[in-house]
Amino acid sequence: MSDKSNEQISNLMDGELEVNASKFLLKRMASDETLSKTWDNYHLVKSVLQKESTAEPLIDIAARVTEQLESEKKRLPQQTTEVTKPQINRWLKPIMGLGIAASVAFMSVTMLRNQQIDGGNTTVIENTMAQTEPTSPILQTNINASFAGGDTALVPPPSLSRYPSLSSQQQGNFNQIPTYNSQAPYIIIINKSAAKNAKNPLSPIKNQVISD
Amino acid sequence: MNNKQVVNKDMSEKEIDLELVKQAQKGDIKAFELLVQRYQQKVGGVVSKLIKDFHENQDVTQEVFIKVFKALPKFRGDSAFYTWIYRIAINTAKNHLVAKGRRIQNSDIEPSEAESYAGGYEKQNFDTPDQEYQRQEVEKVVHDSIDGLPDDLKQAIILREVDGLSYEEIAEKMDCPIGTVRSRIFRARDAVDNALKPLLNNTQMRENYVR
Repeated sequence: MSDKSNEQISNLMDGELEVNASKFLLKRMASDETLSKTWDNYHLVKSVLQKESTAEPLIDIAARVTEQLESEKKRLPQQTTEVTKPQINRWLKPIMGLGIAASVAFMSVTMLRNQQIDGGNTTVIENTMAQTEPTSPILQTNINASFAGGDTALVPPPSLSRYPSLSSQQQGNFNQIPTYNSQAPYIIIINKSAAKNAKNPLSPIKNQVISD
Repeated sequence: MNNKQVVNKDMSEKEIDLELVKQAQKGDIKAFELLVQRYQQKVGGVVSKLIKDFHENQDVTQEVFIKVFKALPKFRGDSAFYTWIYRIAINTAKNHLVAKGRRIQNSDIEPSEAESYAGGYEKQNFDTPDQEYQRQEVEKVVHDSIDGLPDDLKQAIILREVDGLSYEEIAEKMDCPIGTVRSRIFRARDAVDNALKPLLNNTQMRENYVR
């Protein structure tokens, strides 16, 4: 049995053993000290014969390497479980919370800004919904119930934007939102500049894609 | 015949390395030990091109293998395993010399040499006559055992290990079937191994080799 295994080792190191037998033997050698030693000695013989003309030392550091790796292996897993895992929990949660809060704030500011940029960029499309006649238009946004009255003055919300506020003429447009049969107007606001940017090949987003 | 060869394909030396690497990448240190046993002489030989001191050489060679193990997840198998180790060995040896503030000699060693490099050591400084004696002792036992082999076994092992012929070429040269070549090479190795065992099993002797 041992002779058979040793012969297989001899064939294996010369690449003369069938694939499945090789895989099986490699696994056996990794767990069998005697077979592993034979593999080691056969390679030692090979080295001596291949270098017979030189005065070289023969080294055997395999045991030292294994010993060092084993001791590092014993040390490392304890460190990783004790240190890295709690760090992830401790740091990730607040960062994720902050990220979500920042995203919500950013979206709110962006939406407000889009509504206020300027009259030219904002198209107000009238839609109607009769108080008495039920309609359910899709993609409609109820801005404010106060729009319902034709004679109700519309006051723009306080600006948080860095852009200048609307001119009085433009502001007047708020009062001229058309109504239809005195029904409450529902409006969809389309930001023209955003739509334009989406089609503009030189918009920053497009550029970024090209550079990637 | 061809079909039989395809079905019973032998595992090449490169495939053996890859199989062991695969196991070692999963954290199997014993599989990695087999790789160390396979290449320690060659790597030691490469390191000896730059580092002459025997003990320093052993320490750096050990460091090379530790680095190799840690870098195994990055090894994709695009190049031969030994070519990859060879590069790590050269870099580690050079870094060692730089860290020690010593000049790098023989810096003309190129990775392209790796595939053909058989591993011959440069002349080294042996710290003790004891080590020199032990090295000579191992070599003497190996050569004496080879000399004492029957001619057919001796010829087979020399053609394989010294001339580097394949089993097929040896079979042709010796005019015998490949199976006979396999058997002769094994019997030669086994005979040398048996002669070496008392020497290598001597713990003190082995320790002195290592340290």
